[in-house]
Amino acid sequence: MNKKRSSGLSSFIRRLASLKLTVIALALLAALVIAGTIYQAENGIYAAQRDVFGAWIIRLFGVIPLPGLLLISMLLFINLLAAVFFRLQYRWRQAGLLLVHYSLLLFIGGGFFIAVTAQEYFLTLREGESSDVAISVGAEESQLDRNQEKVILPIKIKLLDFEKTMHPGSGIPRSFSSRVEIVSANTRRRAVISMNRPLRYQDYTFYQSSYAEDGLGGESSTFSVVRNSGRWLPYIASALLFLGLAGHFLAMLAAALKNPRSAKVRP
Amino acid sequence: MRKITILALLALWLQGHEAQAATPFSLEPFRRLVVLEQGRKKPMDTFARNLLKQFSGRSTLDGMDACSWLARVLFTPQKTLEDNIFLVNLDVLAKPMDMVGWQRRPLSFAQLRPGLGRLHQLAFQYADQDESSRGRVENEAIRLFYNVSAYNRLLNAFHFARPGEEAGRDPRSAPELPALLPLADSPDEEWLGPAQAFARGSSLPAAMQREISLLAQAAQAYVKADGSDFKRALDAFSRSVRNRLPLGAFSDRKLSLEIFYNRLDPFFKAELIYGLALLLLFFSLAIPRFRLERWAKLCLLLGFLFHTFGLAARMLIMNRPPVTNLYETFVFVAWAGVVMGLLMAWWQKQALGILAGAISGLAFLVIAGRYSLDGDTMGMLAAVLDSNLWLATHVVTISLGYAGCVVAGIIGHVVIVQELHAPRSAAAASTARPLYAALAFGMAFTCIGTVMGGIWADLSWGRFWGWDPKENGALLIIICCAILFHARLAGWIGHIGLAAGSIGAIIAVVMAWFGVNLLGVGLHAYGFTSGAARGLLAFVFGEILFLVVAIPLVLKKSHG
Repeated sequence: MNKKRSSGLSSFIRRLASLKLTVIALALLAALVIAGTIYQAENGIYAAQRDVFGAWIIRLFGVIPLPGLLLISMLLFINLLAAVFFRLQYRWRQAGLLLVHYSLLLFIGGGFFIAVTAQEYFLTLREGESSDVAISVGAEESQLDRNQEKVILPIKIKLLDFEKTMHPGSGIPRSFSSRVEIVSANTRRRAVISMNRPLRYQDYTFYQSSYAEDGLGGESSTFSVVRNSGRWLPYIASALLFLGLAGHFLAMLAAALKNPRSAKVRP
Repeated sequence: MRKITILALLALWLQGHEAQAATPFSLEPFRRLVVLEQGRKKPMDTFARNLLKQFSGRSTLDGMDACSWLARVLFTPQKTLEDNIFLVNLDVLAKPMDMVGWQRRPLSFAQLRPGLGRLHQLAFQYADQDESSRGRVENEAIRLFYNVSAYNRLLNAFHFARPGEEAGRDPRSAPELPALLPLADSPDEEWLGPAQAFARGSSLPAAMQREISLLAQAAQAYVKADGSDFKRALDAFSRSVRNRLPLGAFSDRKLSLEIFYNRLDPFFKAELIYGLALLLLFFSLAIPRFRLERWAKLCLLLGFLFHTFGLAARMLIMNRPPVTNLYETFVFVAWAGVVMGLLMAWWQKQALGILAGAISGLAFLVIAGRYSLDGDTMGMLAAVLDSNLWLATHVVTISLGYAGCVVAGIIGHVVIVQELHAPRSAAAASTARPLYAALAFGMAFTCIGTVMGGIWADLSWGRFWGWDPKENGALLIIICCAILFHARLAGWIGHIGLAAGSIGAIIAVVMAWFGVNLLGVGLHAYGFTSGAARGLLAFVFGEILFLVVAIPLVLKKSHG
């Protein structure tokens, strides 16, 4: 009885860790990515994130339930976890590939963590205006009560001046930047937020997102405000991925030099 | 010795076919004038070429090079009204415009003239429409109108140099083309066209007024075919402009390099040589006795040298990494494909390497050539891209990934053809080995490039991943490769499956690369994208057809 149960369990784990499950989950993921991209072209990025890329279940034609991105990535995550513990071989020659798989675990796990915890807001200021209230992304598209979608920032931001420069003789923008004054409980300082140069404060990050002109010489600047305590997770995962790929490349190279006739390593 | 003779002949031919100038005297000083267009200071030579390409889809007119053509338009406009320079892509447009005698070659301004009123009306009506609701006819009307009005402005750019001619225009609407005169005191570096500057008259500083009269002298010297006066006036003009600009505003060396680059047209030459390599390779496979394979390899190498020179020259001229826009991705992926082909040819698989290198070089340079018809391929960068480190690393890496997958796909075709020819032979299995390597290379670099893109996006926009179509495309390539490797490991597929899958990977690459660009298109992207959309569909359809026909045959043969 006991033996049978354990063999049932081990065959279940073997199935969880199996390559076939990997291939199936990846094929599902590929189909979902294609479908989501087409859906996005018609309905916009926000709808695609809500209905496909941020969903456990999607409903085809509003009726037929199919697995959403969260479900498929959960499946991949479990498959990967099982593979890492029960299928992959721990040998030096495989070290690179092992690292790659660990990095994928971290990418997917980190993605879940960020999806659950991170929040994104918008803050639009006219020149001279100051505010500490940001609006949640998606508030414009959704029909919810605006008041529930607001957040009070720990600092007050005043837009002193917005500046944009163009490449001469063309409509191609060269740079955008906003000079701001930041007022927190006990300090007051000035900073510049520009394209590719965000401002960081605690776990908030302020990015130059867009701007508008009222035609009378007045300008307004829009910042995207992101609060993300898992920001560093993809960086660790990326570092692991780089290391893993480099390691695997070296292992392959070493094998190829050792035995030039069959120049490959079976992963 | 024979080798050297043939190489010398080839070199002569490559030098030889530059279009003839239409004037008895040298246009060199005109060619070297600096024009500001789309934010970039470029030689008149480049300006003229881009303009003529944009109008007519060609870089020469009846054997006359673009600069000679432009000089005629500017200085002797009446003589150019009969030049056939306006390519009208659609016969449908001929009807609403009441054009008679429409044909499939470019039309002249004189031929278009009767329909211009109607074109004007149509173009304005279409331009009011929402961009997404415009079809081919609408876009073609807008494009043609845009070109005709640019030509019109060029006709009037030097009217002040022709005393008899009536200017008769509101000075505020005087043509700003070509922008030759920098307004030194203007903070946003505004440049004026000759007629525009002339219209401002005495409000300009003395140096600029002198420059305008130098331009008028040059124009008159051109009409009188007085080469020495033409040169003297334009040289004095260039010196004067240079003296007013801050030091290092542009460099003479880069100007010369760009003109040389234009004249050499390295990518076109490389394209031809890759084609030759491919031909030689086919001959050598058909008639092994002639030992043409070495020649094919030599051709591939020669094309590669031209190709590399072109890439390097662009980097020097623009002071930029090799890949910064869609045009350059085609050139760079072609180049990376050739490098991989050469490596393969040197290492083990000579014929296969030449084949893969020459095909990817040829195919993507042809696409790049089509794409270059849209205008200057060295445009300025929008603010969002202006971050040299990430642009340099991320885009280059991901392009290498694309190249790896493309080479793998090309080898995939070879494997399938070999299997059809001789089922279960050792040849196909041995061909599949470099396929495996190329696919692994492609996947690794796409992975690294995508992750770098994520880091760049996080640094500048605050999110690592946002399910943007371009990101999804890259992800799709990675998933596609991952499926192949895992299915192979699971024993679900052998080298035939890998070959078929690598063709699937090519489809994923072209979708990610420019398929997603077709989701949203702008006015200037039109000429390329409408053709490209059809080409892309035809390609994908063709590949799928190949798979559907070939794979069952291969499987039947290898089992039966």
